[in-house]
Amino acid sequence: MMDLVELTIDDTQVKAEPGTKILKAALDAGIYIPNLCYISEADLPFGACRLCYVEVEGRGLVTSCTQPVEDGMVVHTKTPEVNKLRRTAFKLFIAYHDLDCRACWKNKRCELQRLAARVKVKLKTPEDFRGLPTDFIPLDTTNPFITYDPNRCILCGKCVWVCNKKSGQPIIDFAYRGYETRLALSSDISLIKEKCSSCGECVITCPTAALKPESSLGSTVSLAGGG
Amino acid sequence: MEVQAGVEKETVKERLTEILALCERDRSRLIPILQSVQDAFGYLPREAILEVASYLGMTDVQVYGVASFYNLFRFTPLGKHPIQMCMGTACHVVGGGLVLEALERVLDIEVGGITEDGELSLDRVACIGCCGLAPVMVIGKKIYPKMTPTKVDEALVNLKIETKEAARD
Repeated sequence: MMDLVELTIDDTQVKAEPGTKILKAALDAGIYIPNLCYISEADLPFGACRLCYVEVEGRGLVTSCTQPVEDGMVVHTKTPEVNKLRRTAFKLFIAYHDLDCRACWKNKRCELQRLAARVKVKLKTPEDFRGLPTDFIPLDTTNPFITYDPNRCILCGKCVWVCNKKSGQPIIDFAYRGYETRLALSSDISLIKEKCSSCGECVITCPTAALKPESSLGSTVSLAGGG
Repeated sequence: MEVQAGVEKETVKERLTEILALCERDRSRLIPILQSVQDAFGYLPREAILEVASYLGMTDVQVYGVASFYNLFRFTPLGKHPIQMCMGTACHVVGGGLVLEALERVLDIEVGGITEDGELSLDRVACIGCCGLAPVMVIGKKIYPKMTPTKVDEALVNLKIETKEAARD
């Protein structure tokens, strides 16, 4: 085993293997840094959510999921600058998110709601983003077992990663760009009936209500219910 | 998506085999491959995406994800007379949007669509380069300067007559 790197996170001495990312080191040491797109087993961090910003002394603000630990590093996770960036990142998530939480099937089990409380942002469309298009995008119901709701998708990429890992190749992936970016499940091109085994892994990993299990499939429902 | 005006399935397969034979079997060549496919058909037929995906050992969604990211690629065929409505700054400011709306209404298609008979397709483009003539519409190679919503009908009727005459000659 290689020599451990020693660093300070929020006044706590933390030891981690060289090459570990700050986020993992912190989480392992019981220090919580908000994150949405982070998958601990993934080789490469996706780095999409921008919630895991921390301040490293002498280096400024970095995303902790991409920054490897170094000896003697001093990390702060709750400075005013960090909180400001984190809140902005979070506001971008909900800028055109369908925020009718009470009518949402994932109400109270939603990672986004939990994070809203943690980063102290109200779950209503932020004032700075009121001018954004809020047209309702139709749901993708081509898979009989999984419904995709682009209005509630935050594009964290977790489902794509899981699908890739499970099937060897992603059967779902992002398509289009900018505001139009969403998951291409099946209605666009893919022959999901032939390739997707409807294992439900993507539904389980989804932090929001974007991927919904349909009750017609017993196994998916029980899987998702447990997750 | 069913497209009547599209290329026949068999023809797609045949031409694709020819195209792919010239292409390196390497994922990093995806965009050049899609470009040559689009050059051959004028758009990316569904079959072509599936074929390219299996050729490169990718899934079809991955190919679709890349193709849909770039404005360069289209998934519906071009009409015999492709209509381009300029939406550059100058054309936009002097009411290009109204002309585009009129076109959508008259042709009963949306931007990026094609009429049922496969004659006309409608696209919005960025600057064509003759902002002095704004708002500009281009059908095929002919430029229609200083367009207004009312001129749309006129232009389309004239186009029909011209096509008929050309067919007679």
